[in-house]
Amino acid sequence: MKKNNLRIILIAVLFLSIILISLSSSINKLVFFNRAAENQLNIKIKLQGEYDKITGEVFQTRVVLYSQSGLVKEYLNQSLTNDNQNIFKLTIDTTGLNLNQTYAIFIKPDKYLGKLFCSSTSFSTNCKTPQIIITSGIVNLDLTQDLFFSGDISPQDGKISADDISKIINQIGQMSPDYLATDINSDGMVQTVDYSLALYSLSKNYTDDSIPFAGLTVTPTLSVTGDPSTAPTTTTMPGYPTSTPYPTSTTAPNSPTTTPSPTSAAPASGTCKAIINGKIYGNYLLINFCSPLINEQAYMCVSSASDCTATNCIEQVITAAKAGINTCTSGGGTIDETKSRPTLNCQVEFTPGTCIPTPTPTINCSNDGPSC
Amino acid sequence: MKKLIVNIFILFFISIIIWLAVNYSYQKQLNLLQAEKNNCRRQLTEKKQSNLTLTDVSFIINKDKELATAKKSPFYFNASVQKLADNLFRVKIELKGESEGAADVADFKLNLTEGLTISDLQTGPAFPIYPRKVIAADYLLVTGLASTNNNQMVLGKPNKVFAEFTVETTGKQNIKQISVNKEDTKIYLNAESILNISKSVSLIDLP
Repeated sequence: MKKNNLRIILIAVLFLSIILISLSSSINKLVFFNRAAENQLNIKIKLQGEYDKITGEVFQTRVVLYSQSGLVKEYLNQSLTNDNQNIFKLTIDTTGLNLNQTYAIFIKPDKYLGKLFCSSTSFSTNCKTPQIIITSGIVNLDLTQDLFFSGDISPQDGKISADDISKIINQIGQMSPDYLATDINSDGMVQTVDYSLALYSLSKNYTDDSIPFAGLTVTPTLSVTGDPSTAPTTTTMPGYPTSTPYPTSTTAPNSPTTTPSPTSAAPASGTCKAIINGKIYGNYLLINFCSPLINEQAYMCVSSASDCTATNCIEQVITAAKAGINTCTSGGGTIDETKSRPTLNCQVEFTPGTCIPTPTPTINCSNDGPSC
Repeated sequence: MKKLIVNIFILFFISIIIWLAVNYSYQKQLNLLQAEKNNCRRQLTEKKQSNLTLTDVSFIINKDKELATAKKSPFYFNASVQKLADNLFRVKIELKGESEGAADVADFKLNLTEGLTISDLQTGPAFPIYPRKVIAADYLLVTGLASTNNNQMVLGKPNKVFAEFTVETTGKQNIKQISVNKEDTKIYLNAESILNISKSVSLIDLP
């Protein structure tokens, strides 16, 4: 009898233990699936200034999504945090957005001027037609090809004026534990470097980008002379969005309809058509892989024929491949550039006039795609 | 045989219980470490120590020295026009105010309409530097700024020329006035506006 009782107790404990273990693991799975189901847009931007020795800075940022017909959604006080050096990142929730239209994004961080992006390579005055495609799930958008300039301090009015500079001069030397508006780089103290940053933007007469999607375009012709005290490096890469080779990307079958903008581009601008062939080699968790590119077509709006070159095209393919691999492997995969680069071949053709861009490619990580 | 099976079961339970206990304490420890890490990170952020550079120190000393002698008094812009030809004018903008006063930054903006062309923009001695001189299709914008020069802060001084430029009226419109952009015309000292709006020029008459 005693033995039987003991057995029953033991079996009951065993049963309970199994239930406990399976419950704890299923909770983890639930959390995981919950996260994966979110619709997010992860954006990376590049700010003027040196941030490699500064930690923990957060800029409250306003993000506005536009379609060709006007404002779609505005996100206030989004936290822009440091990613690496002067690259900053923020995440917005894209749940509920119409996934069948293309978008342009206006980003305005605290203390900085706002910038408008139609795609990762088309921004500011070149941004005429929204080209950003937002899909369900997590979308990564690298907007680090142009620099955000600083100096528009609170209350922000979209330009750098006498009051902004005077406020900075007045507070130079002050500690800024709560990040004063004049502490442009948020390093905890208002210094001459903050003054220099704002002065550079003022000397160039930089302002917030104008939004051309509601018939409000103002494009004055400027003749600017000045003596900037600092000269941050700006990298502008004309190029072509391409589909991401591996893990397989799916380019939306239909290009968005382009409505000619009232303030059309300069006569030299046009469409750069690229036909891409080659192979992308890489590895993930010690496993080598190869993905072929066979007559992949891409169209991009360029400001002049000189931007439509095979070299620029190959650079963009490599960049897009890196981004795709990074996204799908959560940073664990790498591209073998030395092996991939010689195989890549871009045939480019420039057509002046109205531009029909390729939409931003959608990265489909679940599809294995063809192999070499 | 039965005893053996029971013993195996007992051993299995004991190991599961030990594993659960170890896992629980490990998770607890991990959470504590994570909390400690977050706390340290927060403290590091809060206690960020920025040091003043020599440039900062020099700037502050010079600014304070100069401001100690400067009197805070209202400033304004004054315009005078010289007719060069029927449709050509030379406009001189002066920074006006009490002679002991000073300014650290000033913006002067004119609204330009069709039929007005600005050329030959020159800046005057009111400010030591002019980092922004813009002639756009629809506006003219000049910014004067205080500056450190030879270990001395030089502020904007009154009763001196701020800017000079030539205006040409073209086309059929008989333009007789140029309007000053009141919103973007500013004079500041120590983060405070010292612009006397009532005295400052708002319309420039072309004779």
